Amino acid sequence: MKNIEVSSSFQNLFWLLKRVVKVTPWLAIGWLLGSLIIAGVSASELLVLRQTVNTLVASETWHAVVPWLVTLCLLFLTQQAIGIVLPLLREQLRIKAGYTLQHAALEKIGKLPLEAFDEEDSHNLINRIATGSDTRSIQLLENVLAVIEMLPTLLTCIVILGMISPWVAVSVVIGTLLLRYCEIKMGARVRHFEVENTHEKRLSDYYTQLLTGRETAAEVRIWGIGDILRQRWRETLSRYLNLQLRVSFKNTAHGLLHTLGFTTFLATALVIITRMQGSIEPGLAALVLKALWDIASGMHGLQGHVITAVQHAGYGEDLHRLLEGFETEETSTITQQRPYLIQDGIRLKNVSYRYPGAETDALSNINLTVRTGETLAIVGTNGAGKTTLAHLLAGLRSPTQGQMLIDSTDITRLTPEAHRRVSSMVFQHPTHYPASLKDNIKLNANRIPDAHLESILTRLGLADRKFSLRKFLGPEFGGVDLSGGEWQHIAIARCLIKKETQFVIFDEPTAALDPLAEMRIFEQFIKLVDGRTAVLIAHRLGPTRFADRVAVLENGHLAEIGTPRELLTQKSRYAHMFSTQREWYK
Amino acid sequence: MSQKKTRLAQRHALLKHIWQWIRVAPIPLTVILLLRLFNAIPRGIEPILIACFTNALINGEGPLLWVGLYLILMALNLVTDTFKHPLYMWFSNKAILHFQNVILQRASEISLIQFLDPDFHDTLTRLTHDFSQRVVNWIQSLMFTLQSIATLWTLIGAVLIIGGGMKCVLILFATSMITLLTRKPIAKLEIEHDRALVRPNREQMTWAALICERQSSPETRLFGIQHWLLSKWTDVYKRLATYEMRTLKKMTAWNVIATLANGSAYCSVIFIAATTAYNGEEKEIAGIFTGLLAAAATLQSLFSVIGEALGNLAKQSTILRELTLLLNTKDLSGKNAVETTKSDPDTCIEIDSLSFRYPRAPKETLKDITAAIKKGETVALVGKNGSGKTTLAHLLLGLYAPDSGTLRCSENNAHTKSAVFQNFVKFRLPIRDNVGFADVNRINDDTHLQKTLHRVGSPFADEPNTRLGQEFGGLDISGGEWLRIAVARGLFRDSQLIVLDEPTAAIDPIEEVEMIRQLLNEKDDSRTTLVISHRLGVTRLCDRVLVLDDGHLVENGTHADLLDKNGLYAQMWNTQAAWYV
Repeated sequence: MKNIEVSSSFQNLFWLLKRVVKVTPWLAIGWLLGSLIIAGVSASELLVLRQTVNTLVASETWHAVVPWLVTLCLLFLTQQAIGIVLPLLREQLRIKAGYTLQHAALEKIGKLPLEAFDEEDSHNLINRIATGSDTRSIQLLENVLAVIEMLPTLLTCIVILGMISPWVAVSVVIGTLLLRYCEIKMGARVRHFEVENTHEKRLSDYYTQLLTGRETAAEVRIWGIGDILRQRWRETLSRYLNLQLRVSFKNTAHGLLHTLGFTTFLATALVIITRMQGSIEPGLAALVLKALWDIASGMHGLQGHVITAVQHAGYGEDLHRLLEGFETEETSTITQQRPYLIQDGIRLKNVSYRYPGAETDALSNINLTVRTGETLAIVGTNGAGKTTLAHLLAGLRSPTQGQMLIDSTDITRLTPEAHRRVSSMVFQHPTHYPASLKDNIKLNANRIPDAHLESILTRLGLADRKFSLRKFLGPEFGGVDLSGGEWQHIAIARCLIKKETQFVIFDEPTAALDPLAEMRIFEQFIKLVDGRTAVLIAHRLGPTRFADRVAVLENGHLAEIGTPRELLTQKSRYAHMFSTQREWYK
Repeated sequence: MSQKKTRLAQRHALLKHIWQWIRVAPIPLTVILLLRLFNAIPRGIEPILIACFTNALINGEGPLLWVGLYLILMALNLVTDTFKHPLYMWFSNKAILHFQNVILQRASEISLIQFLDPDFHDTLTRLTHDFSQRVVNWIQSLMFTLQSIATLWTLIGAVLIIGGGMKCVLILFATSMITLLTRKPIAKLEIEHDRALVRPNREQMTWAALICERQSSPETRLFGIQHWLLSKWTDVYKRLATYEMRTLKKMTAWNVIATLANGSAYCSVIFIAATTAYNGEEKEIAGIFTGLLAAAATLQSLFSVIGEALGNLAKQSTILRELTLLLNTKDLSGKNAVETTKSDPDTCIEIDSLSFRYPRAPKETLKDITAAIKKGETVALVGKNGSGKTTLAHLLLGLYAPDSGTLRCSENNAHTKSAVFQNFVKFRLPIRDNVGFADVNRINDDTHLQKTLHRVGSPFADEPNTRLGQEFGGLDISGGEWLRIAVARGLFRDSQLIVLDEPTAAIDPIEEVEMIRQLLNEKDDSRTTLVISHRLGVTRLCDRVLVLDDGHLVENGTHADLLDKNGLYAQMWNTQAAWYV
């Protein structure tokens, strides 16, 4: 089991390196060349050292030694010079490769269908990539690159030892490999422990979050639960840390054994050399310990890098899975190049939708036609499936069963992109982008001139100093803080500048607004609709009375549909809900 | 002069901190220190062994002795090395538990208002994330420096024993000092670099998160802005990369100086070693030469690592400033903010010309508010978004302190107040904790717990140990059920005052009606209730209505009075009622 883990992390590392080389082949080659040159230089240094010592011992005159000494100096200086340039290359490689990998990951995530965020496994993967994209990728790349950089020099030292006696080289190689294997296993054990015990770690992190979070601060103070939370945090974390320490000590025992093994091999090597005493030339004798010393210290450095690399190999695995697996949404249009002009409307025939991993349908067997130009209100209790239906209509999700038609075109023949171009949505919690007001409204629509944006702001009644287009929004980065109502206006503006929009969906935009602000938003809504097809999702039933038709959802089923007047005169669910709310205002 | 003084004070503070760190875990630290010093000696005498071994090998005189000694040295080094990791972990565990505890305690005591300051919050997050790790790094660097200094002295002895002479020692020393000196500007560059990158790093994370988060994903897809988001992310990444490369190039300049010093030292030692060996006995030439060379190599690597460790020490010390900042942040939490009334036994709260302004806010959020709330009264607080309703509620609850004016309560200790907020916390913990946190002393009182849960109609009344929230393998419940739990929490505490700050905004109207009825109709008469709501139907059930507009208390009276008055309240009421006429 553990072996499989190790081999699969190597596969993932190999895959990662292949991608890195593909990104910037020249930089990668330059850097690799640099590492090889350093190895070559240190090899020649050893050889020159051998000659220097031989000359020093044999020669009668000082002059014969000087050229060797000068060469030794020059080699040393060359090595140092490359040692300065190499990190520059390595960093550039790291930055470029890191960029491309993260870019590829984010691009892929952007193309994933919404369902990827519902499914636990893929959502966790996305989360891990998102939170670790900066540090994990850097850690992994840095350590892998460092290991590769050290390998040629180590190999050279082994070759030099082989010159004295092949057996010396063989025993050192075996000893080294044993130590490497043990390191990788130690790294894998740490990772295994971390995977096994994430629950405890996450729980203690959760307590920390409760104690330091902005959203939880008020309640922590009111209830005075700082102490009890801290006590729980301490218990959970110390349990985790103690287990971790135990693993570390176990690793030490393992490490000791291997150290012993390694020392034995070293001893064998030295004894072999000792056997040759007297017959050995002074130059080689001088090299033996230096070569051994280089190997030992090189490995010391390698140790940390290998362990960290294996620990972060998870990032490589996640990235590999993300980029090579998971289906993306189609982006090229098959049948339609131009935005579709909806003639009749959108029709749902026996449509069901089930979230991935769910046991029941969120929407089941819906038959509904949204006619062009009408305003349809969708009402229902929490969890009745209103938002899911809105997502289907907007082309954000596709039905898991049944058929959905725009006019007479089945949406499976359209790409999601083509479908989304004709629809627009005002979300309950519009996304706040840390950017200027202008960017927040027009998003990627570059062609829109400022004058047009200004006119939209005026139309929405937002044309004052607070809403100058260059204002940076978002207090986290020192920008302006807007209220919920103001963000709703921005969300409406986002829809207004989308010219192709023929179909607007309002997803409970006024839940948190005061009565006057609510009224203003609905006034904007009516302006925005302006002959377009509209779907209004609402909790407060008052505004739904002005819709052309009302659909009532209940537990994923379409319970009622009709004009508000019809439904109010019947003994319908809608009438019941409406009268309950009217009670308040009598 | 004063600069010198502050520096001295900083040093003093640093020493005090270090003493604290050592006190946290004296045993592992002592063991580590002993191991480190023990490790120092073999590395220092290694050149002597190398010299002797080489000579013995060439001349065929008893090399096995030297082999044995060399092996013992190597083995000792390796063995002690293996122990370092768990020992550091032992120390770091103790350090984490100790320092995080101090930080978290501070975090839970510090005034709520501090949390509105993004800089403070950044500091707090940074401290909770990596303070302990940085303490461990600091200690590691310190230990390493101590070891290296010990090695240094042994090494100097070794050079003298091999026969390199004082000349050799002096040259190595002088050039290595240059290496050390270049570390200071490099460390400074690194500190500057780290500080400059805080904001762009956060920006980069934010853009990446916007692509990866579930909440923003529908909007991203609908508007098809994946590439726009990606280009924003790319902009920040490129800016970061340019900055990083620039710093690296600046550091390289200093590295060149260090390398030049290193190179010249090494070259001189090669020549000195060669002459010494050449002038020595013929049998010992090779040994002396290699021994001295090995010493030079060790010394050089030693100085570069000492430099690095010292740089690291300087770098990590900056976190101290942040810790001091946190520990010295003034505690404004409402201990003394609310006075106790003695005058009128029927009054629950008396507000007298109260004003409040958020730090760094351009104007006051609450201006000159005077009002009184009687015991057992139910009062509605209404107004537009941003008129100061929640701020007033926070002041009444003692979460903020007024800037001017007074706030008097009939009885004043923390346990007399309770609240249900709109963004109530959904503790991913058992129901018992979710409800019982309101009164920790009674958290194990099952009858009280069940009674409260029954009262709000929660289906979980009989299973208080059920864990909620999927995150830790608990039950995933709907928003309405979460609300019941939050309301139960509010009621669990036998408080005199309960504040309901729009708790029902996110649930559907039918459920909302039931909830509000339960809360207002079935309440006991002794409990004073303050309701904040945008659904004005609710306010009709209250004894009195307070209307806030732009921080001023503009209206105060019963529902009927205010409708007659035809002011802001009537306007809001009519707007909302119009939907249903």
